[in-house]
Amino acid sequence: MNLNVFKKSKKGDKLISVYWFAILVIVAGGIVMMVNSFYSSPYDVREIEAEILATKVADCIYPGGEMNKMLTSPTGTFRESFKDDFMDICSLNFDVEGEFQRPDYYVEVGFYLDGNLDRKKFEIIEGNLNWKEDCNLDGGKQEKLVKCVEKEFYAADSTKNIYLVKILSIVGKAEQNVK
Amino acid sequence: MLNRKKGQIGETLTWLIATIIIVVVLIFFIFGASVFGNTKKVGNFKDSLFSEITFQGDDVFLKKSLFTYYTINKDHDRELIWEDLVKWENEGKFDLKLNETRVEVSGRRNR
Repeated sequence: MNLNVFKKSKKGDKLISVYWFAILVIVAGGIVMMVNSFYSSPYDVREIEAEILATKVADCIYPGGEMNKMLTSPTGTFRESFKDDFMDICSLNFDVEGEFQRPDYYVEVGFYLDGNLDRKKFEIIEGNLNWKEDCNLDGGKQEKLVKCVEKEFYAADSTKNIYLVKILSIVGKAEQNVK
Repeated sequence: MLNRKKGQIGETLTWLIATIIIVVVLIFFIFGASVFGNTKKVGNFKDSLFSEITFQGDDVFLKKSLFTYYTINKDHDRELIWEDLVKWENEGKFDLKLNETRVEVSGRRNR
C-alpha cells in the first residue's frame, strides 16, 4: 500500500514537470510574440522630416529676419534665378538611389503680397508633384501614402513690402515608415 | 482514499485556473504590445509618461513672423500681421506662446 502511494506521487511529479515545461514554453513564446509585434512596425518619422524640410526652406528664404539677397533685388522684385538654383542655394538634395525612381519629397513655396491669397507674387516648386494630390485624401489613406506639412509666416523685403510665405512640404517614403 | 481523490481534483483545478490566468495575461500583454507598436510616432517630446508638456524646442515660423512684425513701420501692416498671428495661435498652429515669444523677440531686437 505504502509503495503504491510512493509510485503515484512520482508519477504526479513527472506530470507537474511536464506542466512547468509547457508553461515555460507558453510564457517564452508570449514574450517573443510581444517583442516581435512591438518592434516589427517601423517608426514613422515623416512628419518630423517634413517639418525639418519646411524649416530648412524657411531659413533659406528668410534667414535672420531678412529676405535672402539672392531671392529679391534691392528694388523688391523676385529673381527667377533663385527659382532655377533653389536646390543648390538652399543646399537641398532630393536625389534617390534608383535610376528611374522619383524623389520622395516635394516642396512648394508661395509668396502672397499683403497676406492676400489672391495675390501670389512668386512661387517655387521642387520635387515629386504627384505627392501633392495625395495630401487631399482622407486621413487613413493619406497616412499610408504621404505626410504633408503646411507652414506659414510673414516676411518683409527690403522695400518693406510684406508677404505671407506659405511652405508646403511633403514626404513620401511610405515603405520605410508605414507597416 | 476518497479524501485523496478530492485533494487531487482540487490541486488540478488550481493549476488549470492558474494556466488560464497566465494565458489571459499573456494575451493581454501581446495585444498591448501590438497596439503600442502600431502607434510609434517620433515627433512629440514627453518628459515623463504623464507629463502634459509635449514640446521642447523652437518655433521658427512664429519667430520669423514676429521679426517681420517689428521690422515694418506701417501700422496697417502691423495690424494685419498681428491679427493673423492671433488667429493662428487660436488655431493651435504655434508650438510656443505668442505673447511670451513676442516679449522675447522684442527684447532681442532692443539689445
